[in-house]
Amino acid sequence: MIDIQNLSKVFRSGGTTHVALQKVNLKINKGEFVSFVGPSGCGKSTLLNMIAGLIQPSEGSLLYEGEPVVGINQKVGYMTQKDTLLPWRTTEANISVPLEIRKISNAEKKEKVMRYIDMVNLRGFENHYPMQLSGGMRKRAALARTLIYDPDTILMDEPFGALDAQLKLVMQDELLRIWRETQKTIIFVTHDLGEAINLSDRVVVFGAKPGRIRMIKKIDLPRSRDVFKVRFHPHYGEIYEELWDVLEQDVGKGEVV
Amino acid sequence: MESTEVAAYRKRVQITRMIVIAVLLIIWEVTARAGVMDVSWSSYPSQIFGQLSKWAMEGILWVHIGTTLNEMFWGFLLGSAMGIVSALINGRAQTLEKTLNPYILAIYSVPPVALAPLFILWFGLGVTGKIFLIASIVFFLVYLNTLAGVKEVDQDLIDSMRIMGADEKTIYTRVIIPNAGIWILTGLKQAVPKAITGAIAAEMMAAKSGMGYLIMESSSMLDIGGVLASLVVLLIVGLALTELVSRVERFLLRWKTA
Amino acid sequence: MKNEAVTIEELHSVQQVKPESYSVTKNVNRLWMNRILIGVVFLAFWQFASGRLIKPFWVSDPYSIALRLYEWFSTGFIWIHIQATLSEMLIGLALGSLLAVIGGLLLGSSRFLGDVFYPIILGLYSVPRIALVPLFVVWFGIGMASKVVLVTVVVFFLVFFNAFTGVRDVDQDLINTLRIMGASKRDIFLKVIIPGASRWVFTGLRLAVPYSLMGAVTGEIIVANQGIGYLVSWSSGMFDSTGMMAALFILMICGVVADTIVTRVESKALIWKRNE
Repeated sequence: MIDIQNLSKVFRSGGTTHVALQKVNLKINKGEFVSFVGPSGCGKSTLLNMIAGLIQPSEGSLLYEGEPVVGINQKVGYMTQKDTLLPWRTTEANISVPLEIRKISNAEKKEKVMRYIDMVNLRGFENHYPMQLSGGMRKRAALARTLIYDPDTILMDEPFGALDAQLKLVMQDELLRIWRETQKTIIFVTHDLGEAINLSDRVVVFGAKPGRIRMIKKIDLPRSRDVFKVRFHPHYGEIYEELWDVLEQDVGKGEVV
Repeated sequence: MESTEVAAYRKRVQITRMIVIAVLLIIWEVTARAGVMDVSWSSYPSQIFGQLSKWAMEGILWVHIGTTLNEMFWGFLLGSAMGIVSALINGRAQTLEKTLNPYILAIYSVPPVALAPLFILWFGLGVTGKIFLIASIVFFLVYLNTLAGVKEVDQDLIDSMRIMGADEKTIYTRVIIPNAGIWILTGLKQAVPKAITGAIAAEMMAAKSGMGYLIMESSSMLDIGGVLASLVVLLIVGLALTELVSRVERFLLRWKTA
Repeated sequence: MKNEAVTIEELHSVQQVKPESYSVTKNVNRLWMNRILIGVVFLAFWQFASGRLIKPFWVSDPYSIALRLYEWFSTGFIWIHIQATLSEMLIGLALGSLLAVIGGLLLGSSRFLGDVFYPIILGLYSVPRIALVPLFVVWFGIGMASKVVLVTVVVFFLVFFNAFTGVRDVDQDLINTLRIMGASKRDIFLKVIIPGASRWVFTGLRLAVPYSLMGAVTGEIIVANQGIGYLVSWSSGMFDSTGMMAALFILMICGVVADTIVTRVESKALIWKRNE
């Protein structure tokens, strides 16, 4: 579904050249849950932005469903760490933005919005402003807003980074539930290795300076994962250790959890 | 954005801007010469420039600029000194400051220009009245800003100084004044355009010399060319003063990182 | 001898002994009493000094000023002038804001056009607006028109910079998010830029009110045939310090009232932004 071949991205500023990504090769299949893990500056967010069409490649190709990405990719949904809810709209109004853009009728809009509010468990908070919601609630509203226009792929850039440890697990659980129900392709960027293992089918480990892929590993843990208990699975330890050894090479070059 | 793109973009912007200004000036000049426009109403670039050169060479220009700058310099000095001292006193004498506050704000809400006739009544046509007017304009801004600076000093900082055994005077000189310094600078910066306004206003009402006087003189003769020429001078002087203040500020605050 | 370091927290806690509420109200009452006291003392001294310590010609005295004010209001003399000043102020405010918001939104949204024209407008801003008065008088006459134009210019600059910055200040992330959702340029303008810039615009409008008053009065002081500013300069020309003081007093009241009204209005307009 997403075919990345020999992709490179170079940023030039003043006299310095920064190689954000070097010869990246990756194929992502429909319906997969893939995580990008790595220290700061390894290019994982850059790659995500390129799939979204916010940045163009310097070299190589990025094909989305067989077509190169030209301009903003409107077939994806994007959730960032910083929630970008419009502060002057209520939850309901925020979630309906993508529908307004597509000029959906009012009746249909209302029904759909309420359905998604239920999906993310925000019933009762439709008329609240973002400022009146907690961090976790805002994330859920942002998620609903991303899902409501039914993009095939969801890109998530450290969406749970700002949440506390308990809330993170709760949100991971919700995310997996929604993924099972909607069967989207999800690309999830995080610097939390545990989170990546909890959620993914495959984990892609990035290295820094220059940004590149060090390893792509299939996560051999059963599906129907319980994020609260999966770490007790017998294989969890090996998987974590194997991935950590790769990540460790970059510890000191950036931040890894 | 990659930096070569940024540089190219900036060049494009600058060139477009210069072209726009040049084109407007050319159209103005051409329509005036062609007799399409009523020149006595609008004047035209070469007439304005001609007037400026004439004034510059006859020395008139420098006299008037000099008067205005002179008034501003002394007014600034007097106003800032009084503003800073009053604020330092009131800053530590809380009751006094709170009591006087509404009065100061009330007088501050009177446009300084409205006070000009008062000063002219008191001091006549000469330079003295203008100096006092500017001083009062500057006083309020410097006072209010310095006061904020004095009040804002971290109480913990002062307390820790006290524990170390510092007396009032030392606390003043080592903690309060440097901290207020930034605020004083802000006040002075804000005061510049207001002081220019006050000086020009007073000169327009009653004076024998100065930029404002020059403008009034030209307008009373319905000499639009002269009026616009004076405005151009004012523009340049204003920009120069603002730039000067920025430079001074950057120099004094060079220890502060962004 | 024990050497115990005293921490800042302990130093502070020792001072917080008094129960809060009682002493606070008591202090506020005392504050207002002091303020009124100073005001009364000042007026009394002024009244006393005028005629004895200083010629009334220079400063007039509170009683005469009060008398003159009464005269102005009871004969209705003052209303023509107040009305003139207010009209100039309001019309100029409306025109200036309209032009400024349109200009600010347009130039703010277009990166290229904005970058080209913004410095030009910034440069023009260096000319003190009062210097334009004689020009406007020659072009538009002594009457209200020239002051309206002046106020328009004053308000324009104020609100324009705010509107422009308001648009430029909008979070690029919000814009990107909406673009990915499929928003067109028009969608972004209506759904993100305009609501986002509104806070800045309102602040600018708020500032514009007292400045529009100042602009109108300033223009009148220099050249006019009616208005409060006209009264100030006319009295000055007639060496009538009483009239001048009376007019200045009216001016002060107007200024304070204008500012208070605007503060009230602003807090109501933006409920969704409370702690930002």
